[in-house]
Amino acid sequence: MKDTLLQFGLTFGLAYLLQLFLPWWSLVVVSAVVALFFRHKYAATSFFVGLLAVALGWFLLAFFVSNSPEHQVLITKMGELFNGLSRTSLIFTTATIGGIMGGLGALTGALGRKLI
Amino acid sequence: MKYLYFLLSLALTVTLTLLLNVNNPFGQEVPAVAPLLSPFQGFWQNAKVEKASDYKKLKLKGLQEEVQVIYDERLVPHIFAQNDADAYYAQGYIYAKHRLWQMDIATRAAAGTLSEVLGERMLDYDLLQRRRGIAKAAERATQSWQKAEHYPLLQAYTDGANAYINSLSPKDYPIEYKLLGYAPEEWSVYKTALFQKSMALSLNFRYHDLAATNSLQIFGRETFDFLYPEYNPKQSPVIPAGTVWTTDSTRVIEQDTAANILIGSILPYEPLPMSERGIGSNNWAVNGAKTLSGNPILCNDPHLQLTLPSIWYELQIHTPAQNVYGVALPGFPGVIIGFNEHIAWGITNVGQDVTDWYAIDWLDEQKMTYRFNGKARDAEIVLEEIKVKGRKEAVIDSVRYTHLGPVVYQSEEADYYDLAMHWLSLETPNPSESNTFLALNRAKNYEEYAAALSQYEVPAQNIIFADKKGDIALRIAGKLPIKKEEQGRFVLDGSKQSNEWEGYIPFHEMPYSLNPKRNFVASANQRTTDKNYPYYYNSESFDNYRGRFINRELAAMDSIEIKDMMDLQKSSKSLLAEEALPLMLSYLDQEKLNAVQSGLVKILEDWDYHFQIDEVAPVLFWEWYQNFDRSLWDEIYQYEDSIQILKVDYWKTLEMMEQHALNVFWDQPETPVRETPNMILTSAFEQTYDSLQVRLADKNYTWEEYRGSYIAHLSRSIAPFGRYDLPVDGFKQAPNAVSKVAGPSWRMVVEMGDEIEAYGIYPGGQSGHPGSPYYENMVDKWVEGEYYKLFFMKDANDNRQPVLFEQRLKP
Repeated sequence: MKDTLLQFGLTFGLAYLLQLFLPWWSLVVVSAVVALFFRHKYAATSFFVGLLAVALGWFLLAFFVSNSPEHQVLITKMGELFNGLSRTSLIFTTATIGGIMGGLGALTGALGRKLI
Repeated sequence: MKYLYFLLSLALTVTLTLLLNVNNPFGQEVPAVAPLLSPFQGFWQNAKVEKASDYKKLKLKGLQEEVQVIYDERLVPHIFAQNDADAYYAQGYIYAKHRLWQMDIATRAAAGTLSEVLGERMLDYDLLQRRRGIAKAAERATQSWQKAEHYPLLQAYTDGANAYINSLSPKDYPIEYKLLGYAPEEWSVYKTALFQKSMALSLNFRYHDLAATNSLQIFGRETFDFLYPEYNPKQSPVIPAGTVWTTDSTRVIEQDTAANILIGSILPYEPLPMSERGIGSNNWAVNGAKTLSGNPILCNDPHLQLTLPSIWYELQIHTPAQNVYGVALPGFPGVIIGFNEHIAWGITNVGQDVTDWYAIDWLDEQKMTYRFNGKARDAEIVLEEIKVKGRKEAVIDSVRYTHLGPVVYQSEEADYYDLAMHWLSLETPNPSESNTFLALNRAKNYEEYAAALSQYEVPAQNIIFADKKGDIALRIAGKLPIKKEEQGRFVLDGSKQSNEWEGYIPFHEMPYSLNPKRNFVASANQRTTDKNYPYYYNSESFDNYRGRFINRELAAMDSIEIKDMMDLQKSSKSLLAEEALPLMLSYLDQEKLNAVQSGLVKILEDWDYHFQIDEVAPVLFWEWYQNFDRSLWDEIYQYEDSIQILKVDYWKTLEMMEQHALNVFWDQPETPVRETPNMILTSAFEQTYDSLQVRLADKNYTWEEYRGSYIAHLSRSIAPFGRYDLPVDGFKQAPNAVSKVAGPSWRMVVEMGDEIEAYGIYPGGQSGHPGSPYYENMVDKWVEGEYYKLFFMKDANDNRQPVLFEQRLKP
């Protein structure tokens, strides 16, 4: 459990930091590399850790950069562009896509670990 | 097994990463998903709004001294600089900060490089731009401008814009770049020239040579002259009729014009895209004799296609050499329409035809040489490379250039002619051309205004003037060709030198009006002069109603105040309706009508010719007028789907009712009876009733629903960034020329008292960022017909109006 939390924290923190400077796909690499250092009974554990860690980062940032009434101007327009999605749906769609990529990265890392 | 799982997972991860990272992954028009959605770099970052920290102190390489920029409540920058180069550097920087994507897309559209970022769907458009040679013309203009003394000022603007562009990281890109999936590139003086060419495209690229040639061949000379006379006897030209022309030139009338016109086969070519007719502008100035205060008042409202972001951008520039306020265009240093502490000026389009077409007589199958003055002459072949997003290899198109210009129309079939285009705006300008507005911004009196205009080239404009001393003036500014009678009205034989323009009208012979007796100057895209002006010029799209209406109103006005001028700008009363409707009603056979139809006639009879949104009369009139026009001119409309054909002007259609009730055109050849005006107008009325019956059953159906009006985003494809269903009065043949997609793009009224009092508004906002509160903040007030009082700051400490931010740009 402790390992899982540590992996979660590392993935979250490193992915968040690197994405401030690097393109979005750095999160895939970070999730994979971090997962290499953790051994779980099931590789699926890493998948969920990566998914939640990245999704949380994307969720938090998306939430806070769109959280005041004045931000709604653009968010509403973007929602209309995506078939009328609300801000909440936009945030969840965003977090889900980021999360899936984080999860897949971590899964690949975990499966790689099993080869060693 | 372990390896298989690993490899599967790796493959899935890599594939998905790639798919989410490319544009149009499945060939559809969708941007790369992950970069757009990522809160670290995608659209979420654009939800930010302007705050003081965005305008903090900055160090910018390239400035000579510190520049202070004060942003007022509408985010209008007031630039206080110690020299002009620094002021234009700051203007470039701020413009890019607020309008970068607009600058980019407008110049791509001009150059024909849209496919590179938008893909296959723009390829035909790009090919057309290459065939028209826009980019080549911009290159030549840039090279010429480089020789000008003021060139460093253009470069300073460019440097400022690039200082901003180079400071961006992908997360800062305007939202449009993220949605369309490409990155900004540096600005250049060449791009400024491209923008100028795009203005020329919308203002002086309106030609009817092919249509006129077809009409002439179909109807014959006598009927052609009856249908399409060049002079409307009721016209009230820009320069008052009766002006005596002191010139040493006389008009050249060729004995046999017909011999040079291309006659033979009907030209099958499609028309090229041109800005719609009725996109015009108004400007006028009244002198102190007509105003209550005794000060001159100058007004201008240029009508253009309306977009978000708006084409105009407001600003003030204050340096030791100038203090000027007004609206600017992307890429141009300085102010295009505005005022300074001494003078005010405004512009409308002249609209003379400066796009002429020449049939090329090829001497070989490969179309390499053509006949000219009895000799063979080589065409130049230019290869145009068009990059297309999503294609590995660029598209190569070869464009043939004759000495007259590019061969724009090419026919595969040997029995048609290829046509070369001689468009004035493709010619290499004088270096000083780009100095026109910089000089105008600093002008202090009529002489300096006229001197500034003498440098101007394209597109030709009616530039009005008023100053604090009380002078008012209007000058035609721009390069205009010397033409023989009817030259360039039809497609010409390109093998004869005598068919080419002989030169350009010298500046001192250009029409102008200084302090005329009528105490006002005005223009609204109508014919420039009366018949007696010694030089021939032509156009099939001169205005015939707005200009006459404005002149009539101004002549009758006295003790004018600013509010009266605003009311005239916003007047939706149309002289076309005022003159047409009584004639139409006089021919209506009222005995044939049922009770509902008679009710509609009553509505029309009670109408005051104002095109207001809450009225139904304008709907009835305009629908009726169009039905009537189509059935009167059925002999012409029958060709409209197959070839270019000249339409008959409104005023001639009205003259048919007034003077030619027995004319053969009233007859519809396919019917056994001979139609009379009564029959045509009555059946057109019944047709109107039939087509509108269902819609009129809804009592809320008015001019607002019928005409509609919207302001689309410049992409024309990102719908949520536009504004729709605007409840705004107006009609394209009224001073307030609001149509479905075009209208007054800037309204300005300036009173030239000791202290200048100025008002203005445009339908948009200073920021081009759709998430900004300043993106469309002026649209609603524009719709309501309100104006803002413009804050013409005396110095940086002027606090008569509140300000938002203050920014210092340091070297």
